[in-house]
Amino acid sequence: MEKTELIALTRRFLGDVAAKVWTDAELGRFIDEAANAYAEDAECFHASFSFFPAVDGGYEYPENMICLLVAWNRDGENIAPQAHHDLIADEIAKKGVPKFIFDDLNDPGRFRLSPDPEDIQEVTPLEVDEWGEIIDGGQWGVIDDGFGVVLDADGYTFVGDVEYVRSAAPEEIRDYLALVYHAMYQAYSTDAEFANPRMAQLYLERYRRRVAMFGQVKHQNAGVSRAGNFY
Amino acid sequence: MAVSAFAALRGKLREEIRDDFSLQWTDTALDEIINEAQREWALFTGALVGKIEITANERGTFAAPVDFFEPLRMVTPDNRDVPIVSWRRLNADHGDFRERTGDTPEAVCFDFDGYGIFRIFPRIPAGKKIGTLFYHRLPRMNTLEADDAVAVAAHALYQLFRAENKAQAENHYNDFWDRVNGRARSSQTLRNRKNMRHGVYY
Repeated sequence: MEKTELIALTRRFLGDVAAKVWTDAELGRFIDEAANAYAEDAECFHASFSFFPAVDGGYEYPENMICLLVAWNRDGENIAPQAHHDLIADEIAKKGVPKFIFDDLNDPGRFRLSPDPEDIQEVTPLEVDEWGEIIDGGQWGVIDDGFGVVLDADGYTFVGDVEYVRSAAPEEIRDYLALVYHAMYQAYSTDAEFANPRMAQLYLERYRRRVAMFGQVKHQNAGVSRAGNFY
Repeated sequence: MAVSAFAALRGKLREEIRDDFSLQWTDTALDEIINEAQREWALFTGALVGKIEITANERGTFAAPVDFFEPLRMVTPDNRDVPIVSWRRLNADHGDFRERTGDTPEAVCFDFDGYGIFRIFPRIPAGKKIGTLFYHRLPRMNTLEADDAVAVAAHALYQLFRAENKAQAENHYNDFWDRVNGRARSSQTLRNRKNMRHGVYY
């Protein structure tokens, strides 16, 4: 559902079709916040990226990342998340195929791999012709401007990739009534004369119920479902 | 259930809210509300089922239909069930399961590539018929597909009274849930939906 339709639906549920109490901008903010909450609670929107090293050996999380789902190295093995204090100092300094991933303590939003794949992640300059096309063509990891003109003419050896849980835009969320309920919870929680803590709690509870029950967010346990029966 | 049943429900709602002359709610607005109520009913009962035929492609991933909201089961052409397996189980058993190839489907995974996209494990050669996916679906618009029009009406009345900030909205909401829960508990209804609920119930 489009965001304008979501705002209109929220207005209908709030009984404020004439926009006397809440502005479109306010309701739009509530909807965006509801979408963030839904993506975090449901964890059903995923994306992936391959490892690109920074000069100092750290890697950046994408801006829309909520949490890590799974990571694999080039050998198909899991790269396991580790707390920094669980790693032995020697492990942190090792070079090789990565087996662990941990947060960079000095820099929130960045992470490091252990062993450090610096030595195996070769960066090789690519030959580029004068109008910006790679002469060899089709190199993995090369960034262009969307029109085939190469901006960064270095090729990176693949060392591993990550599947992660990401945030979502309101338009992506099929259970739009959950967004409406969360927006209503926020609206009734506003510090104003029309605040209504009882209604706010009621709609927060309805939102949570939908997150728990709706098929979009049924967290599948590490098991097998055969023909409707869950083992 | 046909279009005429939908119009009949609209008429019933008009009587309930005493708006016989469409002074407060147009037909279009009421239709939106009924569609929303039926959608809610379908979501929580899982009573509507659709199916699609799956043929292998090069990627191994497939987009679910737009009316899909939950998988039901997958059956191969030789009537064998393909189990629905979480990516966590595939990862535990096979490591990086994305690149595994094979000739027969061993599992179908719905929780890895994002909502609405499913993956067949292992990847089957493109062009081979894999089977039929049955899934819980959303209802069609402006057509009464629900076999419980009373539940749909209850939710529609909840929406209508909620829009007018009237307290009886909650009574109709409770009526809706009573009908939905009663359906799941009844031994006389054919249940397509398993009773196990995953996740945390608040």
